[in-house]
Amino acid sequence: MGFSLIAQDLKQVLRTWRRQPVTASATLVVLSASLALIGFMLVTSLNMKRILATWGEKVHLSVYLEDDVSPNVISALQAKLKSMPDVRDVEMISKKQAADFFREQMASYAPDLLDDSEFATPFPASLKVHLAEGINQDGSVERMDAMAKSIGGLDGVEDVSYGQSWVRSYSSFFQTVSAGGAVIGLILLMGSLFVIGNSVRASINQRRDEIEILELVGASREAIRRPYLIEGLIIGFIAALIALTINLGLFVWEVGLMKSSFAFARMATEIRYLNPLEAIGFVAVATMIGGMASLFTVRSLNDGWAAARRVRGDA
Amino acid sequence: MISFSHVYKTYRGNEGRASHALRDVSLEIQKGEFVFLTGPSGAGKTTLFRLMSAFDRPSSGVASVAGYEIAQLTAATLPHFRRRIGVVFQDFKLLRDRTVFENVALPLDIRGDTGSSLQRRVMDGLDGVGLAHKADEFPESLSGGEQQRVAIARALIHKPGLLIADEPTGNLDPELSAEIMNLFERANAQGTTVFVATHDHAMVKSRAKRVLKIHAGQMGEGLWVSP
Repeated sequence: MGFSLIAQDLKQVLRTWRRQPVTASATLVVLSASLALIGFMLVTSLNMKRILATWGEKVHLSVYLEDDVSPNVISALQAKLKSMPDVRDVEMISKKQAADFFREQMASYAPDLLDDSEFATPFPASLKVHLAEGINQDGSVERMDAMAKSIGGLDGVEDVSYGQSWVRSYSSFFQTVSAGGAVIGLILLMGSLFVIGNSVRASINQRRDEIEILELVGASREAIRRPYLIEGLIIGFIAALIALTINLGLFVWEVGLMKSSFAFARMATEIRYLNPLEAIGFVAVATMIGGMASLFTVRSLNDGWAAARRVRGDA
Repeated sequence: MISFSHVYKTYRGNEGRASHALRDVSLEIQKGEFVFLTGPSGAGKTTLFRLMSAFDRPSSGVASVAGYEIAQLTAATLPHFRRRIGVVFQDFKLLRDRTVFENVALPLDIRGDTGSSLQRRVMDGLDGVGLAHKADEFPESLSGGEQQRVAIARALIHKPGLLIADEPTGNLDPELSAEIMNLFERANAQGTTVFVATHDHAMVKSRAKRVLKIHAGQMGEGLWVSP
């Protein structure tokens, strides 16, 4: 396709918009709104996964040691744990560290505790087992149960805890959100494609006369369809930029809201907007959707006999 | 140039009943002829015009125009056929978002013509129909007669081998009608075969041309009219 042809097609697209600004604007508004909705779902779903993954990273196993366990047994136990495939790291928490952590946590409720030098630690020493990615992010309760049981039988281990009920709730929430997000996303995507298709169809139907006339004076299919394809691509591109801008505005507002009203959840630092690559991908897909919707619609009208279809049905 | 053999065009009505707009039409028009098609409203003039210009296809029979069989035209060959003929539609079929100049230039644009030769030919064409001064206006700002003249200029601009017109003088006064007919005759004199469907008996009578008559979808006897 030569530059002069593209320039001619662009000229035609601009001319059409100048002559039919309402039709062009309506298509752009519908497409922008649909893409904004899809974009919102995309950003929300990505951030939801990120937040859940962050929460998942906090899941760990606490392996409480017997009171009189020797350093050799602890070392052997640490080595054994580190060799397990689902274990990323093992951290020793002494009785004193456990007590210090407890005092720190309780300081706001019982300030005297911080100054009590005679506070005797009621906590056993433990090994904090950090889990490998995967087992903590998808909240595999069964695997963690099995792991806890196998660790519980090792020499020098008093008890194993990993906040079973929290992990179960997290796991179930994570799965519900993932499945629900996928279903809602799919429904929204299908709905948006339907709306986009109809909007483009309405816009092209209004120019059915033009397609008929071009056919009747002998324009080739490519020559007729090319400007519509280019118009669809341009509208898709502009709509994607508008949708990204709307979503960026929403995102900034959400972050502000989280900082002011939901500061306790500390989520504002965990969420982010689409990165440049994701944004480029979004624009590329939207541009393609605009072009394809336009091309499919004009193809259904432009078979060479568009004018004949207006006449009564053939017997 | 044009050959119809036992051509039918049948439409299905709202109640599913078939009605024949054309029935068993056979005719021959030789290269270089100038032929009028006359008949009352609803006789089938426009249907015959539509088949000749490949606006539509016959339901049965063989319709050949300029070496192409209309029913056999494919998406690939249809544009080639249409570029070889010039057509004047009753409702003009002008692009509303293009200027008079751009409308007339359309057949040349489609062929890939550009530059000063295109400019000159379009302006000559517009001059021929007396509308050179309206080249930059849009069809909506023109009267019905002016739009018809733009449509005629567009149909003739690429010097087609066959010119087919449906009521080309329907919106024109007698003086302008005569001028348009003169244009058609000039094209005919240069070798273009001309076929004009019209119910303007006065105009038909004023020209010594072959006349075909159609009535209720069937062809009547052909005749020659002397002025």
